[in-house]
Amino acid sequence: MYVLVVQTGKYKGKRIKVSGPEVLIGRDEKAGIRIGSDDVSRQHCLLTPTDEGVAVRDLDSRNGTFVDGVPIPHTEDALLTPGSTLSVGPMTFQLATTETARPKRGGKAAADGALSDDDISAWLTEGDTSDAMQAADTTIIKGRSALSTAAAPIKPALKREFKSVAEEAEDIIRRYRESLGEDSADADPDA
Amino acid sequence: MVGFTPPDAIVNRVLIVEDDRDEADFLRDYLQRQGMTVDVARDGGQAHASFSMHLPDLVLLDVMLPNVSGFEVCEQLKRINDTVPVMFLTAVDMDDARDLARRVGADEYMTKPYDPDELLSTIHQVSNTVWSRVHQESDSGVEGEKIRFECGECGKRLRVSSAHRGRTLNCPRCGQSVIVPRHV
Repeated sequence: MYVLVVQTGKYKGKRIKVSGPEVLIGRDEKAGIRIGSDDVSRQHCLLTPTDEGVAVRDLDSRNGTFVDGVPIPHTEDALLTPGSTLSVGPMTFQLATTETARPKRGGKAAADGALSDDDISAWLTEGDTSDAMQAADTTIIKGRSALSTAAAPIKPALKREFKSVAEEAEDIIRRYRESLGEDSADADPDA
Repeated sequence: MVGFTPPDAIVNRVLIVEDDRDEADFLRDYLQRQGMTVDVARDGGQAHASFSMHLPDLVLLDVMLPNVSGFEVCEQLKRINDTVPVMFLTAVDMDDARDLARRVGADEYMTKPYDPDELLSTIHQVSNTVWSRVHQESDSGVEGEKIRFECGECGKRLRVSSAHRGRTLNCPRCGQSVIVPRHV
């Protein structure tokens, strides 16, 4: 059994089991590991436990998925082995096995215990003035524990920077047209 | 205002911002059959003029418009009057688009193709939601409350007065300009 150990923030050391044939990470409500951050796509990446480790597939996420700091190509699976790190948006995890993972002390809830909504709410309302980079809450659904953590100072290499709404809008419209196979320079804005 | 139950918001006048003539005509005819008065604008400039002259009860807005995108139009209209619900109606079905729409103050994001009856239902729903929010806020005096949100660039958690909704400020950490969300 593999576990992801949170490497960053207040809940550093928390463990999340990678159970089942596949685990989806993303903002989507259906995600097994849900990270409520704008830097995370709804369906960001997919984890598949194997005998050698955990296969990670980036689901064409906007900001990319990183294994040991290296972005995964959209078209290929990457193998996450025990000791390797996985970065998704503001969150970084380290893969371990249930034999080697050890929970760290600290935090409001027991290492393997589920966090209550109150715990999450409490976190969401504190630390507003902290200089430490904060991530949005992370929720592990399907009866597993729910976490919220402060984030690692990781800046995704693939993230686009937008100086204005106009620039961001232009990028969205360009990508939409590309998805339709249109030439963005010639397309007629009829959508 | 304890125990006060607000009545349903009434949608009499709708502004459609749509550059596709067929689409605009269909929408106009349909909404007119529902008893609404409909103004049609083809681009951001016309939308601004129409919005200023005949304040609508709701705006239906396309994303892809000539010259200026629907996102910028939404931001502009909300800056003029943020009590008027703005609802995107577009073929652009992307998470990033929904996210940007939310950040520029849109109250709903509906994608094409759509069921006209569902559209009508959503129009009333959105209108009621905004009506309630506006009146409950003014009754409870939440202007003095704080809005919490994150910088989209560096993730720093920010907290500002709700009076700054819709305004642009610079993140104190990374300097990136961020829009204070209207709804959080």
